[in-house]
Amino acid sequence: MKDFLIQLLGREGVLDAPSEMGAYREDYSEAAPSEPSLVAFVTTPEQIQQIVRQAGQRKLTITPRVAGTNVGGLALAAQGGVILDFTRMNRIHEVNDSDMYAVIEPGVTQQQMKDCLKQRGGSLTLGYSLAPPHTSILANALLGGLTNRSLKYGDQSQWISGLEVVLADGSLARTGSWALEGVSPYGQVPFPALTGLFVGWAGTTGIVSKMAFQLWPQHKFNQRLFILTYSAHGTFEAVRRLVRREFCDDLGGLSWPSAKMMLGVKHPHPEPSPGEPTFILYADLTADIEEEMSLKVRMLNDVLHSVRKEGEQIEEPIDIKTLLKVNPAMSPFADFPTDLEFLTNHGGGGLSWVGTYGPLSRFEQGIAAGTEIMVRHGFAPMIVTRPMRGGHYAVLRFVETYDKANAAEVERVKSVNTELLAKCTELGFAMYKTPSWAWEILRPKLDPGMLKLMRGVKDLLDPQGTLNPGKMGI
Amino acid sequence: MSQVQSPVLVRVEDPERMNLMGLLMRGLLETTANSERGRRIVRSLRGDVKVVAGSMAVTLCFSEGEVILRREAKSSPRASVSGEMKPLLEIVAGGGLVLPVLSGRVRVRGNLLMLLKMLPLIRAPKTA
Repeated sequence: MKDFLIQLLGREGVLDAPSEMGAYREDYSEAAPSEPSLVAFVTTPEQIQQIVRQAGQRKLTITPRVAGTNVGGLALAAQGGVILDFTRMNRIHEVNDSDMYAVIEPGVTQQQMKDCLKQRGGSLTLGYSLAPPHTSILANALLGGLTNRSLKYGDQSQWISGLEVVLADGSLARTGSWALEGVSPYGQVPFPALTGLFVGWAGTTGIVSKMAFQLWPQHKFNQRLFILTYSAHGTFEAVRRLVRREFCDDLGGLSWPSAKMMLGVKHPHPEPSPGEPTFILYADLTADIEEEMSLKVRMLNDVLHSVRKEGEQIEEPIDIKTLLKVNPAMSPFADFPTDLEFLTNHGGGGLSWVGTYGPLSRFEQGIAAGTEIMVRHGFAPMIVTRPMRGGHYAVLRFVETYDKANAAEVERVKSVNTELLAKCTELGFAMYKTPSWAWEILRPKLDPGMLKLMRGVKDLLDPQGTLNPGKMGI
Repeated sequence: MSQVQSPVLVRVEDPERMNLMGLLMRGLLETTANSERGRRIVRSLRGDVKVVAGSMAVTLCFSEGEVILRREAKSSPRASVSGEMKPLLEIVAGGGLVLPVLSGRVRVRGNLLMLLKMLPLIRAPKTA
């Protein structure tokens, strides 16, 4: 395989020495390290097609990877497998300003797309995930990740308007409207929604080589406001009311340890200080004229006032610009995409989570239960929340930072995650970007018909098990 | 190196348990207390000043050219400032002081002279 890859990609397109592949062995999470046999830097769909065919013949496995920042081992190769590194396959093929879509390759990063849209005049934007600027848009979309426009437009997979996919037999297929010759990738309709065969599958059903996705208008004025709240009920009652008013572009909630870590405390005490806010909500507002923005700020204050009248303590919104003047360490939240270094640069290198989607109506229960579990395991309850797609569902994510070199801490992370997942599932939340360890817990609860369908799809699309094996628990 | 030139140490006591207000102020003080003017002010101040923002309290303890931020004062503070988070932060960010005080949104108590002297330390530099 090595000789074949070198012939196809050139010597500079292949890594085979263990010393060069250290970065590919593990990710931030507690997932067990895994040694790939080769890393191939692909740049074209034709190269992917040839590699997939060869891998099939040689019974090798293939794992796609871009930034390697997945928090759940999804971009780790099966032992001895081949990693397709997409960082050099990073062309933006099209940005259509009139019809508001873009066509990109897997290696296109959040920052690259942002710069591109800015250079084109800044009339369009996309949402950015809470991940570093060098991470892949396509990977987040295929894994159903969230962004700071998910309140309006849903998780990023819902913006996909078409895919170009290399199938396990080496053939190329298109899904969405552009499957019909001469039609642009404006959306999924009217054809069968086959894009779903590759969304939420963690690269186990096909290797996506291009993605078309929807862009959104960039408005002239924007404001990010922070609101300190003092109870989970007050926080999410405000969120539930705000989503129904439909004027916020984004609403996020961070529990108090997140802000403390941003302000330089690497390991906050698991219990809050007396008088500490429970959550910091942030609201993104956009407008095209000043009066529109003033009205939105007024509407925000009206909603907060209505919750305060019921006895909840909620501070007045504070502009991020004010916070930045007080302490520039808050800058990671000033502009997205952002490097959340406090999560990765804390000395221990470990970052793990249980990230779930679920109903806003159960957030207080979820937060109370998750907080109890985290504190009992000795972790400050770092929680990230965001209502999605008009508030029809929401993100509830519990995050831990830890020392990867400390075996006891790794075990503690595994233990807390297992307990968090069990409780979240019991309360009606479903884990997204689901790691393989979580599938072990979820599989017995999965509808047997759904499981049968999933196995059937996998058998149909990847009968030899070439593509990213071991990730879906089926 | 003279005492005026030596950097001012800004220290948070028990940072793992310090509240958000104290941590926000640490970043600010590390800058303001180390300007030439800030160093002079810190050298001239003695005693504790309590700041209460919403439900969070932090005490700034000035002693021998350093500032220690504590959640609880060890002795009676010589002065205090209190108010909701937003008006306090707006003052810190460079907003006017008089109106919030006169309107009662921000309350000051104790040694007002000390507070006035300390004011440049809790005002963000214009360039920030």
